Amino acid sequence: MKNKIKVLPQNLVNKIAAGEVVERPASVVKELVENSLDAGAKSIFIELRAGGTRLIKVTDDGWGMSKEELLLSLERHSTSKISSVEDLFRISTFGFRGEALPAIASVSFFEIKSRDRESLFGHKVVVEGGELKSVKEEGLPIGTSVELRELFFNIPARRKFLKTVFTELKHCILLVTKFALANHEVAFKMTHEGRTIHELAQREKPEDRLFDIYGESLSQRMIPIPAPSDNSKRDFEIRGYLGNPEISRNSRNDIHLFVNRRQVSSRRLMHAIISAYGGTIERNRFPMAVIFIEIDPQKVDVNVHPTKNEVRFQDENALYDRLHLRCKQALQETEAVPSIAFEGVKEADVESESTQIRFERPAAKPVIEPIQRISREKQSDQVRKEVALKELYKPPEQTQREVERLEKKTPKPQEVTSELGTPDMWQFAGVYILAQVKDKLLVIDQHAAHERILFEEAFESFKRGGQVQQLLFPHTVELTLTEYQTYEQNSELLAKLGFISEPFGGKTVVVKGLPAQRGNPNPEVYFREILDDLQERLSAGEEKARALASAYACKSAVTAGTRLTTEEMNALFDRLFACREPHFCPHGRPTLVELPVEEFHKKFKRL
Amino acid sequence: MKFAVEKEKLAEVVQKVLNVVPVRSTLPVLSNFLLETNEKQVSLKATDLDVSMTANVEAAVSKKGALAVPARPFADLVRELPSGKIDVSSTEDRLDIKCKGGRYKISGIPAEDFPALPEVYMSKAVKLDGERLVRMIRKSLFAVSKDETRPALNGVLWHAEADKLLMVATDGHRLAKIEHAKTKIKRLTNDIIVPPKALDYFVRIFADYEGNIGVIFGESNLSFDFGDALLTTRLLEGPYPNYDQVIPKDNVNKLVVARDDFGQTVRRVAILSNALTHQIKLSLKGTSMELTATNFDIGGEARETLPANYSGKEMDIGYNASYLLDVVKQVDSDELIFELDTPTTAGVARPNRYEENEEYMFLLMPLRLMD
Repeated sequence: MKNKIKVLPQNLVNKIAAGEVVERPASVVKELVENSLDAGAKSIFIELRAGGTRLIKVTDDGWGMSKEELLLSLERHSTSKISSVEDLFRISTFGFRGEALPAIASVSFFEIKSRDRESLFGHKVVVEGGELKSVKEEGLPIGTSVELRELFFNIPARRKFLKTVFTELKHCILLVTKFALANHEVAFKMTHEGRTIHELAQREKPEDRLFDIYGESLSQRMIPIPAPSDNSKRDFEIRGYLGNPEISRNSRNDIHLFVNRRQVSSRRLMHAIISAYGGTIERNRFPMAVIFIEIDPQKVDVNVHPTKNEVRFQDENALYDRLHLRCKQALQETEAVPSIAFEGVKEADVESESTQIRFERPAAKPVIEPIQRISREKQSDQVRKEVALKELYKPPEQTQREVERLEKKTPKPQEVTSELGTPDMWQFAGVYILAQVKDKLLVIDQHAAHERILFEEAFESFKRGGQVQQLLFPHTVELTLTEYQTYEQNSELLAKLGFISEPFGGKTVVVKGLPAQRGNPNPEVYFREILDDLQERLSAGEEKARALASAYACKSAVTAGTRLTTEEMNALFDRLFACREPHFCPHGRPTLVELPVEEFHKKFKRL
Repeated sequence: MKFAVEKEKLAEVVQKVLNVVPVRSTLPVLSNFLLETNEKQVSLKATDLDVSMTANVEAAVSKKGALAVPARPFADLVRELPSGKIDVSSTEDRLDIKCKGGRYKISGIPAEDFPALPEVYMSKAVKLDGERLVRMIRKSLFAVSKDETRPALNGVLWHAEADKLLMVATDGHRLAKIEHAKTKIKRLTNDIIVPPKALDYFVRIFADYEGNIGVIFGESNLSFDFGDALLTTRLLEGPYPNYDQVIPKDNVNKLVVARDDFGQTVRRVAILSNALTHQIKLSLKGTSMELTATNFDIGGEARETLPANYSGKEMDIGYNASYLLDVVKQVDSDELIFELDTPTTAGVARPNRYEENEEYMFLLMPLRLMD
């Protein structure tokens, strides 16, 4: 049967638009807060329940709407923000498409209340799944309040795609944090299930807001980008703050980029910032940064996508270069980028040496990492631990066959002891441990192996409690909001593992003890690393205990490049083979490979 | 540069300064000695940018000059040269060494390429008893943190008050504090944090000396003047944590135990403790104490009782055995006293008697026992 082409009913059009604009609770919050800001609000209150899936309520003290405006606002493409095509090309408000409210109203139980300055009372409009239910007069304060319940109640497919409450809440928090950073003169309050998450008063200076959000210890380590030295007029102005390299993070979440106060994501501009740090932060670590770019609205196109997350610049290359340069200057001025300055030593020497290392300089003898040759003590008997959580040790599917193959071929540790009294061990390149087992050379990745050991130990600790080294100086750690959330939700497991800590008011935690296995790390750095990594894994959908065990294993294991003593190598070897699954690290990478002696015979043409 | 020098004297100085030459360095120039002459002396300099050392040897200098030469081959060569007079001369980039019947040449680097050593105001030297310093350094050095992310803890704190000199070191798990009452240092007005490497060198080098040593407290450096040698170290930046605040003043549970017996028992029991945490448990009750340890990896279990004098609440308390052994090593009285509060708070360890004018103590944080 042939379908006739027809114009879609308005309600359906709205739902389609909702698909683009309203992706998850955080996108609703974004649209509503933007409306509030566009309405000149000085104070915005955001209430959430169940990560925003049950309830989102945004109340502001902006200039409000009359009854007519209120009703019109629910019509598609109705907006107060632009009125002509010319306006579209010099947008200075957040919203302008006039799609958001009707779209949101079409996928929830929606209620909007508003009163403008001219009226003595306000109006309340109720909409259910896009159908107007009632319009009533009501006594209200000036401003607007939008409340919606059961987001996506009529789009089960979309509802199914929502992540856990925790994840949705995390997105909302990140979003509101960004708004708060960009709008320091506006007060923000945010609650979840009645508990206060943000309570930020109006501030005069952006750095005060930075302090509110990141706390003392982090905000003190943020470097302001100084004003440009010449006053010439530019197409864009850049200001903001850069975290010094020592407070690097493991995700880009703390790089906040604003163009004309609009939060935007731009991989290219982020790259301009990250690359300015050069080698001062490790690979896979990211700086903290809050960057504001002011640009002539005519030179930027925000109408790329309904969510307005992406923007296009007329001259992106120039902006990239400028941003990169300003960040670099700021970092160099405060000497955040270390440079060795010692009389008589040429700067160039330092650089070339650190980048290309060794064998280059004729005057000096090449420095060769000594191979540590170690004669192993007699192997101790292996005591297999009883671990019930069998399924946890399954390697990823695709490597299952690999495991079986290896299991057939790799000698069991018992064989090592009985048949070989004293195998030799070397550390190679500071990364691998080489050991001879029978007529094979085992190459063990020290980090991966240690990770596997700690991972399995973590589960033991969850059951029995881990050993804790009490700290002489309790450390207070100021967490970010998301870190604190992660902390709260996992405090019980953290304690079992050996992180002895207590909330210390606000987002601060006092750390009094750490797992004894880790040696003696910097408590603040270690604690934060674990939380960050845990957070990452949780939002990737990992199960709690597993996520914490992997985070702990990953952040506590010896890193590649650490030199190991004889005892350490012995212990690592013994304990690896005492593991349930010695062949893979928790992420499925192999912990060891074996090279049979025949391989060498072949190479040397003996066979 | 041209000079003649006694082999024995040169060799002695070379060995001393060789201590400071870094084994591995990303700056190749640091693996050199700088040879320099003045009227009557040859001076030998080495630095790793943190610690530097200059030592002088008398020589018959006929032509002044300077050259940096690879430290290790030069030291090896000087050591093996026959006794007696040796003649050393240099061209622009080569060192020429002549001895009875032998002639050796070695390539060098222009002296300008060698880092300038920090300036030291020798006139500001304070005389301190070297033996005393060695003793205080030994008793604190072991507790210095090795974690580079907390730079202030990577050194020993020197603090002077009234007629007392105080040294403190901590790694966040334990703390060592030693003070000597009759050591007045007017020039040390601010606390300084001294990196362990230099203190370690000091202890080693002082073995060849005795008596008083000149100590120079510079703006950002500390120097030791041995007369014919000068050791200088960069100081670390603070602030140092408020250590006084964490030292418990009224721990009432008191354990007295024979030092040697205790040390030997801990050493034995620790063999079967967890390979990483080295946890051993002390069960304290009346006239004896029990030490236990378990190691699940090897199915090991250790248990030993030992006579002790304990007055206080019955308790089980866990410690890292290696921390306990460090304390045993540093306490020089025959009995060891522990003053404890609870199994999760700081305990004090001290000797049962002190030498004159001296006082020292160690703080130990327990390893919390889980059941």
